[in-house]
Formats: sequence, structure tokens, C-alpha cells
Amino acid sequence: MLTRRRFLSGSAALAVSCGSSANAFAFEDALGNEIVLPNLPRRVITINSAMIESVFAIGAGQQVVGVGGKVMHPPEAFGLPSVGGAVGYSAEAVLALKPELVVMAVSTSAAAQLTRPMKAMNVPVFLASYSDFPSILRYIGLLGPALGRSQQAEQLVQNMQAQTVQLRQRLQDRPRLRVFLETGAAGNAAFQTVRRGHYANDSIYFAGGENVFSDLRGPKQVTVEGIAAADPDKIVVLTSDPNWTSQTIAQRPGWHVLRAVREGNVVVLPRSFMLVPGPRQAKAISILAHAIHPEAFAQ
Amino acid sequence: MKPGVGSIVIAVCLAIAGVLTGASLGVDFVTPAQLFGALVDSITQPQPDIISWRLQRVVGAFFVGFCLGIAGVIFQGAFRNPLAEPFLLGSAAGGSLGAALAILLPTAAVSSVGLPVMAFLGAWGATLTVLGISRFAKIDDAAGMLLVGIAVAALLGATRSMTTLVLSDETVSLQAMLSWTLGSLQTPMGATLALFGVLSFALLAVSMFLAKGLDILGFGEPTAQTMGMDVARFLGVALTIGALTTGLAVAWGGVLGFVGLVVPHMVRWWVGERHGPLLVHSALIGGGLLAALDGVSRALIPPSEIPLGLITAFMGAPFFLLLIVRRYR
Amino acid sequence: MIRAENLCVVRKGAVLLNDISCHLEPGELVAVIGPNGAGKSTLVKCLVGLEKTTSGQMFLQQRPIASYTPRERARHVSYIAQQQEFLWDLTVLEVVTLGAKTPGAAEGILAHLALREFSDRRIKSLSGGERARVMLARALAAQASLLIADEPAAHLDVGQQRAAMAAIRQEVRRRALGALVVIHDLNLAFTFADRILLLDNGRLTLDDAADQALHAQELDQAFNQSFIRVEVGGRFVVFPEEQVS
Repeated sequence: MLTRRRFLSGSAALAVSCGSSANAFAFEDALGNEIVLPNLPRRVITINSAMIESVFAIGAGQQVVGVGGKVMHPPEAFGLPSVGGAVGYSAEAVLALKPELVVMAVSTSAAAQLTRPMKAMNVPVFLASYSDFPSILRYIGLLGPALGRSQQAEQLVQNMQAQTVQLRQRLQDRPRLRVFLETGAAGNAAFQTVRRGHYANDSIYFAGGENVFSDLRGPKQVTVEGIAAADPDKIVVLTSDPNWTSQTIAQRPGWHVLRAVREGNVVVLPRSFMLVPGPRQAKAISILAHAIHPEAFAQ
Repeated sequence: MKPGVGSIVIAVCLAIAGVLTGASLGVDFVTPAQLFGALVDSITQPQPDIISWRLQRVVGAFFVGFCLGIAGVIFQGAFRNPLAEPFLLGSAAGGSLGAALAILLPTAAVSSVGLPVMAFLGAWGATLTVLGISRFAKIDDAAGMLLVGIAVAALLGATRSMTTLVLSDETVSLQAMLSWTLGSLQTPMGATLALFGVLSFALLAVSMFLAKGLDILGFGEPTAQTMGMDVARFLGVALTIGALTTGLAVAWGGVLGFVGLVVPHMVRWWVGERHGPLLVHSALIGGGLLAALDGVSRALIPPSEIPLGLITAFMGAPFFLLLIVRRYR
Repeated sequence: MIRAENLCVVRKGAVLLNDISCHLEPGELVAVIGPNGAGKSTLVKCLVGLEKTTSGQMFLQQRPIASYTPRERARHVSYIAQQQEFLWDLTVLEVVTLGAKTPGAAEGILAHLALREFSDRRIKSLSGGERARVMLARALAAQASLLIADEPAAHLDVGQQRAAMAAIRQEVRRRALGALVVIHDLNLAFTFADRILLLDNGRLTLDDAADQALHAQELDQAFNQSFIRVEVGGRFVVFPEEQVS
């Protein structure tokens, strides 16, 4: 952290000394690092789906010259040159695209592999970080000034907030249902879930539910027994397996003991849509609300 | 203690105690009396009941430990090393690759066989590959097979890491993969559990035919050969059966380290080193131990489940170190 | 019964056995003697199938030895290796039973070798000499028609050496066991053996009855020694010359 700040203040001084300070383009990233560029970055490399979706959602897609990781949305990002993926990221591929800014999320393998080389090559890096839902809004808000799209970013954040408010109004007469959200399954053994601090925990809340395991201690995995003790009203299963249905879930060994299963309150949703911490999370919350309170959307 | 009816009765009692402990522990503590009541209820008026789920899971854990105990004795005997473990010939790496494919690659073909079968095929296939290569290379001693095992395991491990990396993004749960690798009881129920039990006992029965050969191997491979044993063939058969047993345990329990190493070792101190008694007692004690530890994994930080493999490692690794220190000091 | 013809073993250019032809019949005790490195162990290992031969043929009951499975061969030939290994700490009775043709055979041979009091002792708690006797008991309990032993007396004291050889000879006389025994101690060999095979640098230089072999010049050549033959109590023993002077 110390070295990064020293580097950044150095580069700021450089920017000031070689360009006119009036034209300097300054912003900070989600870690609070001050970044000063001579101009608005027009060659941007964006890595990982959440970042790509965010940059395109604030209208900065035109500035993106390269992407990394799996590109799921939007379609305009599909054809862009890639600088790597899960198997590894190439600093050379990044540099070859002559980037003026690299946008990555902390705690991704991309950040681990690229931050240091970029620093060495004096390529500025915008690091986003996310955990809960507000943190997603926060980094999107910070991306605006960084890419010269402050207004659009503000607008997007407001829209996302408005959608959650709208949902809350729509669901205000509904009882808050207790929800078990399964984010992964090691066969039929342990089932992974989320707790407080994860945006999906907030998403359940905005969707009119309450995560039964928001206060989970220890490993973020539970057994049928744990689920039965928590006795959720709704079970939402996120999976990438297109063959899964609520029937698949009901037939798991021992799951018939769960009240939600017996009452048919099991919903299976695509993981790839629900667990991307970007602008589409607002849509994910809406889908979750439909899953948790279908009757509220019946008319 | 001399092995005999008495020691088997004690082992059976310990096994039952282990299963009862495992079934009592969990998110809520259940007394054995309540357990019995629930068992009677589930027979007289079958209805969804978490205690019956728990009982079946614990019995599943028992058979996983049962198989690991048998496999441990076979591998230690065949490799003529009392510190050998059942995963020596690539079962863990192969099983993990199978499980990784099942968890990360949700195609219809993979979904239809299911995770346990994929894990079993991986574990069993890995060892068969090792034995096949050993045969092709005319390797007839355990040390050579071990080296082939290390190479095959490295290759499978790399394949698994590659698969995991390539497939990793928001669409798949790496946490699930990690969870499986750290040991996960797949909770066979009903007919599946019965099948698992029958297979476990069948493997114990089959492995009893290996007992005399494993005893004779203790005189060294040359002496064993002149006592009428086709050592290379015997090793092939013994390790195939050992791998089958390990594969069964991996299919239903994931990779659970140290059980197959530590249990036969403790049983040696108790009933001596003849492989017949060693097999029977290790199976029963391994089963009882794992059943009890499964209860611990569910009861320690409820409602979270601590991966069982972490518990066996936390308990087994210090014990293993103790053995090594004792052996070399 | 067992017969080797023109046996050669070459390893990495070194000739370990050079054109050896010999045989072993039921009811005789044959001692293999020779200086260290003469090929004694290699010869017995070939005969029990633990060492591959470079050329030559071996027959067990007129049948090529290569055509026997290990199990078939073990029914005819039992073997005691020079290096004994006891990985599992079994009891004496368990060890002997593992080699025995029938459970009764184990009990009988233990009584025979005065090992009965040891039967419940664990093998690792025994002395080297006691272990050697247990391995002899194990090999004899198989009740094979031939016994091939590589220095079974190596770890024994003088009295035990004689006892072990006496036990083997008793079996030879009692049930016409054919025994081929590598013996380091020349006088032990001449005392107990019916016939002597002398190996010198991979060659079989002498194959004669024990009382004839004792006087043979080949003995002095093989050991590069001048032996003095002395008659003690009606039997000859040999001493290296310098030991006497």
C-alpha cells in the first residue's frame, strides 16, 4: 500500500510537471488511490464480467480496447481483443494494446497478476472492490469520473437504487420470507451459501426476503440438517447446470424433510446471472423478488 | 490383546458407539433414547424426519470409514510400509478430477451419472492406469509402482487444476469444488445406502483372501516369491482390490486423509500385525471413528458444516508426525 | 531331482557363474562352499528362480524350471534367504504356520527344533540365532522335497550352527529331503554334508563326496591357502596353515 501511494504521488507530480495542471484528469479508485492522468483515458482495458458490464453500462464502452476474463454481457463487448482469462493474464498482451487505464477488481486473479507489472510500466490501474450491495454502487459511482462519464454513472446508480425502492414499495404488504440461497453444491454433501457482507445477502433483502444464514459462522456451507433447523420458507438454488429443476432439488437425499420442499417453494435460477456484482444486480434482485414473492407480480 | 471373538465384540461395540455418537451430534443434540424412538417411529409411521436423515448419513460415514480402514491395511501390506495410505496410487487425484468434472462441467452426460460415480471412476481409473503402466513396464515391485503412482497423480492433479482454472468464472462454484476436495459425505440413502453397505462387506470378504499373502510379503519379496507367491501378480490383485475399496470411499466421502493411515496403525498396536484380524478390526474402527467425526463436523459450529477432511487432517496429521518421530528416534 | 546344465550368469560384463552343471537328489545333503564372491548365492538364487540366468538350463523333476509357476515350484523347493526380513511382528507359531503345508506340520517342526516354548513369542523379540531357527522351521514346515538354504547358520553361535545343521540332516535322513546348503564354515560343511560343491570365481571346480573333497587340492586353490588336514576323533578337519604355525 505504501509503495503504491508513493508511486502514485510520483506519477501525479510527473503529470503536473509535464502537462498543464488545468488539463490534468484526476480521480480516485475504490481503494482510495488518487490517480492523475494528463487526459481522459481513451484506451481502456477492462477485466472480468462485472467490470465490463459496469463500464459499458455507464456508456464508456467506446473507450474499451481490450477485455479479459469471461465476457457475458453486453454483446458489444464480445468481439474485443482479450488479454487473458482464468488460466492466466498476459501483461504483454495488455501493454501491446497501449492502454491508458486498466480497470480490474481487487481479489481477482487478474489484479494479483497484473497490478505489479502495470505499476512497473507506469500504466495506471483503477481497482474496484465489492462486497455488499452498496459497495457495488460505490465502485460504479467512482468509475464515472475515471472514464469521463460521471453523469451516466450517477444516473445508473440512481436507477439501481430506484429499482430497489420500487421493489420495496411493491412488496411492502408482503411478509418478509425467510430464504435459503444455495450458491453451490458439492454433490449431495455440503451446500454453499452467502452471509452478511455479500451482495447476494442484500439482494435477498431487497427482494422481500431474509437470508436464513446471514449470521452464519464458520465455513459458508451447511447440511440438510442445518437448513432444516433454519426452516426457510423459500429455497433459491443458483446453478450453472441447465438440467436442474425444482424436482431435481426435491429428490436430493433427505431434502424431503424441508418444509419449503414439501410445500413446493423451491426455485432454480441461473448462477451466471445472479452472481455478477455489476449493474445487472438490480435486474437480479427483481428476478429474485419474482421468485420469492410470485403472487406480488401476478397481476 | 490377542485377536479373537473378544476383540471383535469390542470392535463392534466401538463401531456402534461411533455411529451413535455421530447420530447424536449435529445442529441439535439428540439423546440415544430419542434416536431409538425416532427409529421406531420411522418404521411404524414413516414421515419426513431429520433424525432418520442423520442416521443414514452417519451410517454412510461409517461405511466410508470402513472402506478406508480396509484399503489402508491393504496398501500398507502391499507396499510393506505401515505408514502407507490408501491414496498412494492416484486415487485422490483421480477422484478429484472426476468430481471436478461433475461439479464444474454440468453437461447432461455428466449430470446423469452423478458425482459419486464420476469420483469413483476417477479414483479407480487412476489406479488402474498406474497398475497398467507398471505392468507394461514390467515393474514388479511396490517401490516402482509408487513412482508411477506419483507421476500419474501429478498428471491428474495438473489436469484437474487446469480444468478448474479454465472453467472458473461466475458461472460455476469453485467453493463447491474445494468443499468436495476437503471431504464431503454424499449421504447415500435408502437403497443406495444398502448397496454401499453390501459392497463394503463384500470387499471386506474379498480382502480376507489377501490376508495370508500380505502376511507372507512381510518376509520380503524374494522370500515371498520362493514361498509360492507370484509377487507381481499378487500386488496387482491386492492393489486393484485396494483401489476399488478406496474408490468406493472416495465416491461417497471425497478425499479424507489420514483415516486409512492412522486407523490400521492403531489397530496394529491392539490386535497385532496379522492381516486377517487387522482387516476386520480396522474396518470396524475406521467406520466408528468416521461416523463419530461426521457428528463433530456438523456440531462444532452449527449450522455450518466443517469439511470432514479438515477434521481428519487436524487429528490425523499430528498423530502421523508422532508415529514418524517414534519410528526414527 | 533338480539339475542345472551349463549355467552362465553375466551381469554388466562380469561373469558371475561360468558353465556350471550340478544336481541335487532326494536324501542327500549337499554343501556349497567357496570364498566370498565365488558365486554361491548367485547359484542358489538361480535354482530358486530369484536370479535370471544368461544361458544354460535348469530342470526340476525333468521339467524345465521356467515352466513352473511360483506356487508349483514352492511345493517342491523351499528356500531360506541369506538376509532375513521380518516386517510384521508376528508370533513364532504364526510365522511357521505361514510356511506350513498343514497346521499340524508347524506344531511338529517347532517341537522338533526345540522351539515350542517360543511359539507365542513375537519374532522381533528374538535374537538373531533364534530367528534363524524360526526361518529354518518355516522352510522345513513346507514339507517340500528339496530345501535350498543360503547360509542358514550365519547368525548362529557354534553350538546352534551344529544344531541347525543336525536338524537339516535329520530331515534328510528321515524323509529323504534333498538339501543344498551354502555354508561358510568349511568344517561345518565337511562334518554334515554328504557331497561338496566348491565354487571358485564363478566356476564349479569340485563336485565330490565330502570325505574326498576334504583332501582335494582344488580347495587350497580356491581359497588361495594351504590347508592342513588333521584327524580329530576319527574325522578329518581342515585348518589354514598359518593358523597352526
